[in-house]
Amino acid sequence: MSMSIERTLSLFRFLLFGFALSALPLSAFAQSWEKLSTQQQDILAPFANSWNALPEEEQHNLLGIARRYPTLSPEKQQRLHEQIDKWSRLTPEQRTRAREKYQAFSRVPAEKREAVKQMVREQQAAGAASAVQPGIPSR
Amino acid sequence: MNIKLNHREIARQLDRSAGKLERGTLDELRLARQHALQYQRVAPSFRPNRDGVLFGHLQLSRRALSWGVAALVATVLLANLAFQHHVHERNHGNIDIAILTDEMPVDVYVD
Repeated sequence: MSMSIERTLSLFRFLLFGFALSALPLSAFAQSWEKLSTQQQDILAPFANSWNALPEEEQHNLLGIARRYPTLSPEKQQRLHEQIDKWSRLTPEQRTRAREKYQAFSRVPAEKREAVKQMVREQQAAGAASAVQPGIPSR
Repeated sequence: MNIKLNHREIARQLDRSAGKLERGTLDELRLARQHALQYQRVAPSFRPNRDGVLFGHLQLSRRALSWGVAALVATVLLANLAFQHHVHERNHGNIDIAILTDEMPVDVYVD
């Protein structure tokens, strides 16, 4: 009887240890915007207002982007600058959904993917043309 | 000359050679052997008994042993969790960079 109580206590101790220790890395991670370096703040500027309210996992992802930013080519850095503003305006749920859709899109055969990209390019070109059109003075 | 000797033959030859050594040399060899045996490390034994576990001269109680095992298992669990967390976040980070540097606008992936 006492043996089984001792075993139960041991199991309880083990679980307690596991839960307590596994919570440490996450709670120890949170960083305020003010504590980020100037370079991190520059890259993640669109998140300045929402940073402190972001889930820690999102903060970690974004810091990963900032860390890898210097290793990107100038073209990719430029593209990231263009897109990160829109990215910052999404909710964490929308970002999760976007990741899922991106991964699903990556699994589509290359020729189909290229066809979709071509369609998007054409739509963008048409949108840009219609945006420019009203600006052209009529004679 | 190629003579093959088994271990018994070798031992016999060595005993015979040792018998021819001078008394002083034998005494020095005996002394050196005693010194070596004195400093020889005894491998700690790991013996469980009724009161816990005897590890060398250290007696661990059942309670201490259970805490030790719990700590060990928790450490392994924690290391595994941290590793999984790291892999998961790294994957997310890679996808985020891929989306943000992609030719397709972010809007395409938003409902």
